[in-house]
Amino acid sequence: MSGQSVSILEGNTFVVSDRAGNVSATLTEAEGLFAWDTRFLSRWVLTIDGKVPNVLSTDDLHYYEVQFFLVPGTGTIYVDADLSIMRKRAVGSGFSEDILIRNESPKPVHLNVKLEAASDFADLFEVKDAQPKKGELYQGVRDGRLTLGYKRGTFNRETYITSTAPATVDAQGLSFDVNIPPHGEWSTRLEVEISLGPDWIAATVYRARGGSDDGHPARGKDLKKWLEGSPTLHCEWPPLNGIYIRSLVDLAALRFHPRVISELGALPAAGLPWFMSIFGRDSVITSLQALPFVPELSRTTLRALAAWQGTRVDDFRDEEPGKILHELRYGELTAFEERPQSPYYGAADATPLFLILLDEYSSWTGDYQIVRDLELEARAALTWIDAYGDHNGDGYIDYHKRMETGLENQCWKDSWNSILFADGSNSKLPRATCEIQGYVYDAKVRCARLAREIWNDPELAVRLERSAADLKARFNRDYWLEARGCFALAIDGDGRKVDSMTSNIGHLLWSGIADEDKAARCVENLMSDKLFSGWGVRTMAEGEGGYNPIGYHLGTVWPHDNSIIAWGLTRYGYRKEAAKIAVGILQAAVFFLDRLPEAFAGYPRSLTQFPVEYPTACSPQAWATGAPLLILRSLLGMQPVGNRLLVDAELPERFGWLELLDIPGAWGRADAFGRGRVPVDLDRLEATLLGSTAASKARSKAPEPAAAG
Amino acid sequence: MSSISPGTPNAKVPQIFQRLAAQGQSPTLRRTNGSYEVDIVDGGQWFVELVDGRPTIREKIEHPDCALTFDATDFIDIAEGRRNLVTTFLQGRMGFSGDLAFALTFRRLVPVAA
Repeated sequence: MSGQSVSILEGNTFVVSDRAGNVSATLTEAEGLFAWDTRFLSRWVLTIDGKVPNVLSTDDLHYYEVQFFLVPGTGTIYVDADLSIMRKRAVGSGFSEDILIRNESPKPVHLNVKLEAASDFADLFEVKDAQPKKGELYQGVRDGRLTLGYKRGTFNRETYITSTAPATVDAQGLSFDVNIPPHGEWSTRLEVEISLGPDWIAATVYRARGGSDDGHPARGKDLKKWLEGSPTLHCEWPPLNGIYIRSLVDLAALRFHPRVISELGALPAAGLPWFMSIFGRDSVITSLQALPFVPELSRTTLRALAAWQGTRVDDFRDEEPGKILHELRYGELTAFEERPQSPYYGAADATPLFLILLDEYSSWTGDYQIVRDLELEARAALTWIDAYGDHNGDGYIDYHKRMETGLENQCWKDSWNSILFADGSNSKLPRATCEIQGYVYDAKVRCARLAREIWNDPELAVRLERSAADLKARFNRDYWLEARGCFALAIDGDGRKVDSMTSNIGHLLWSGIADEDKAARCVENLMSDKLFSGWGVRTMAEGEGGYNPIGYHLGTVWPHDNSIIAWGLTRYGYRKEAAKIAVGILQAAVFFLDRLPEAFAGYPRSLTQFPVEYPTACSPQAWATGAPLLILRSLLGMQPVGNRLLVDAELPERFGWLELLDIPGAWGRADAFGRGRVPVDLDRLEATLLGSTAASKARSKAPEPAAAG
Repeated sequence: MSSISPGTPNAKVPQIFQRLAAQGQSPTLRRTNGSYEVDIVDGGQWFVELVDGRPTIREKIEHPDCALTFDATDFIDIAEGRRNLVTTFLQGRMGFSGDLAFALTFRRLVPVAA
């Protein structure tokens, strides 16, 4: 997608257009109105007397609302325009668009205003493919309403377009014969609604959330309430305040109220625009990151994932009893089982992560009712780990795909070539990546506490503690690479240690599975020039056979990865190192206008002086959005202890005074304060950074924008 | 409930509901309460009340939380594990009105998980 696109969203409905508000989908410009993983509009182009107007400006009002200011096309030489054209679009279950045309001249004007509309009803997975559709596209006009439709057997998707102003409607769109008096104006409201079939009642989405029929005022109030309910941050390092607000606003945008979940709350979708769906791993990690700030996300995530927990062995979906899902989709390819996401369970880490979140959420909030409510699901998840998670019987949780449609890698580094040996060759399935063993260890330790304190099952607690201790001992023996001073990335299907040095070792610090002496050597490597780029820890160390600073999981820097590593460093007492990662990542955020992308290039900071964008990074992406929040938690050393919040701040010197007020938790609301005392050698680049064009632009940007892709 | 001729494929429908009623509480639905109207084309109209995950077949429920409509063959395939309820819904082969989340919860009620 080009950098000129504008995206607004609400739930899993989003509109991607150009900066004039037009949608002209091509194989390279994946624009359109998307909902339920289907493109319901692939063409939506406004013309005035046959010409596409030029853009004056595009204002991102909210994440769900955008305004375009246009003037008639005048060729390459600008002359004073006599017309002002405003398009204001708000997305809901479909979208509504107000078009206002003002005649700025002293003479009347006659205009032919046209909106071209079409839809290819592409599945989200095929928008960049030229796949012929297997069903039939159709159009129809009835009572002034244009219907665009697609039918494949009983599969039926439709788009309805209406206008408040009288229009001539045909299969290609709506035309308006407009006369505007001198200094007068003309306007219309266009409504674009969608249908997934004759039983579909889209408006219930809004009503279910207590909003008005069009939902707009409710959403505005909802965002205000969301921000007011979150802790307040004041920091003497100005960029952090903007980054913090941006994270909260983007998290609000990424909230998802799936109609397939009875729970009334929201959970975080994975990312805009292509991942506005339920993902096990992404939702859990984002909820963990955001827990000290907006704990309600965790509650919904836990209940939603429990509701869709696996119940049977299904090779097509990689489903097993007790397993937590990877992804749920609703498009045509999923419907006809050409893809397995109905839902797909191909994630080996989502199940232990679910258990970790259950414990962390209850510890933070004191909400132990959910631990009681989900006892059966938690026990099923523990059973999955022991009964199904280890496919080759070597004692470690691994993964392999059972059908061609499954994922090659079912860990967070899910690209096909992410688990490479140091010589660059690929490993074999089933793969038992190291961080998953860490998650399992952590999950068992945490569930032992829940078993003893909440479920009143001391025998289970003892069994889990023994199992965790045994796993830790075996892991430190079997995965350790003495010559490299780090743990193997994985043990592969041939029983070989996958010996690339990667960021995964940082996750082992978070889980606590690494022995202290081995952790110390991992920290040395994490902070070395091989892994630390100056902006953050790379996914793979420079010098490895597979290293590529612009390879998706082969050398790029992932903010969420770094936030977890910083949390792990804090756990093992490496506070200065955590501060250094925090400064690198947060300084990078300034270059991205406060919004960290999913990933950025792993070039050394000394080479580029600024973080280089990764070409197809998703933004905003949920766990990148959550990264600054988890980094804040780590820097402040915030930890729940019973009904109290323990704060042990060790902040970078450059931050100066920092206060985080009204932190919600089992204690009600509490405050955290800290003064920057930790010297971080990245500070010396501060002046350069804040003097840059990007940084100036970032500082002047309003803190509540829509999502510009 | 409508009567079904024994020996026809649709005769399986009452058996499925009988099994459903006999299975007792579904553990994963133990906190779930609500009611379904299930309309099977050429298979009768059925009402299921769910109390703490325990299904009971009723003669009539006035205001069910959701109404589901299936072809008899699809319903039997779902109940016997040959067809997935979610993709049946996405394909438009399962009609519904009311609460969608509750409608999809039905997948955990049928004897073989769908």
